[in-house]
Amino acid sequence: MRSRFRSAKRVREEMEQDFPNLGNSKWLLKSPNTIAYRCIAWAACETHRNWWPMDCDRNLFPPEVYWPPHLPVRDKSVDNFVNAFVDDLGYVSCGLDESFEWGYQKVAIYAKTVGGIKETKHMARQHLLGRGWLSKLGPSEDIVHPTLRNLEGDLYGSVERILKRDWRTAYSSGLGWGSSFRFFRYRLKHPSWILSNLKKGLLY
Amino acid sequence: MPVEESISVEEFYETTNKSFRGLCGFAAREEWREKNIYRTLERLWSMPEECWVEKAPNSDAEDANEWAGASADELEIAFLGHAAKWERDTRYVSSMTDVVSHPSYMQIIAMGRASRKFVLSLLLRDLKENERPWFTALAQIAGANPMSPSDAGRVDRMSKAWIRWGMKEGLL
Repeated sequence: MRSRFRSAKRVREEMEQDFPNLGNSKWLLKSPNTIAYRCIAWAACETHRNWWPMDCDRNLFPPEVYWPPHLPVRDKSVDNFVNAFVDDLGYVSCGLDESFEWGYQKVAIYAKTVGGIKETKHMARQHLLGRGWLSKLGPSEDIVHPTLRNLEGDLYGSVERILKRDWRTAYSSGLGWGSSFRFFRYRLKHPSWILSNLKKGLLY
Repeated sequence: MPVEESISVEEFYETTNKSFRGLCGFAAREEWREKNIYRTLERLWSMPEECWVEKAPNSDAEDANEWAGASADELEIAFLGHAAKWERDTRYVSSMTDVVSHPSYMQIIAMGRASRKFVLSLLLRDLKENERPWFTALAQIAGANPMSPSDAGRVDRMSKAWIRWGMKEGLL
């Protein structure tokens, strides 16, 4: 978007204002903002397309977002997101256990009650080595935050479900190697942003 | 009535004015611009604060009437104001349903129904220059879908498809 190269200092100030629980923790930025992917795709280890269950009339409206074709496209419930990750990516539910388990990759689903219905608002993915949680905040920058509580609040609600898969399943599902490559290539395209913010210790 | 507590009149004015200078080259009359930017701000601020209301497509035909007599300059100013508000309000939103049902987004679609060719041209220029994803608005206004279903969610390919379509239609 236009404001892609906002300084990390400004981004941090704005995010800490909008997510008050980030304020007192050690969180870091990972990359400049982009509209190429959002939080659900990032949780699914993808950086080349947006995921969301959105109704699209193929004859008129564009396929603006991707959603597994066998799942309902108007359902924003937590269960629909759980099914997408269980069916397509090999995750299993593990309640609300957010601890790091060696050999497992975890994702968390945030939901908020809207009009009496719990709607999914955000997803975060645990760092493969347990160094916090990775979140892409809409079209804004992606960050690493130490706990899931950091993003709870008015915008995303609270954590409703945590899913996990072992590394073998992750590997057989692709583990997002292609996405990782694209992600690093993307970062390399903007060396000045990366270098200037790395020097200031603001980047992961 | 402020748009949001965290944005001042001056900040919003400056953002809108800056976008205006960057985007449109034909309406450089300072006095006219001052007057119309403030009129747009008044209109935006009269919108409800709680704006996450989903609307079914085509349910806002009455909104289109509101823009029926608007001049091109007036539409362009209003577009920039709504686009800035939409971008700001949805900066952390991943729900594409919420993104495309934001009142400012719906207003832009209503403007497109009132002045199809001009608003399509504005949206395509903005997509090309500012990379703001107007795909649903473009499809609803144009009544066309130049994208392949296999490109679902791929912003770069969708942008290219729409820009190609715009050039073919003489809108860019």
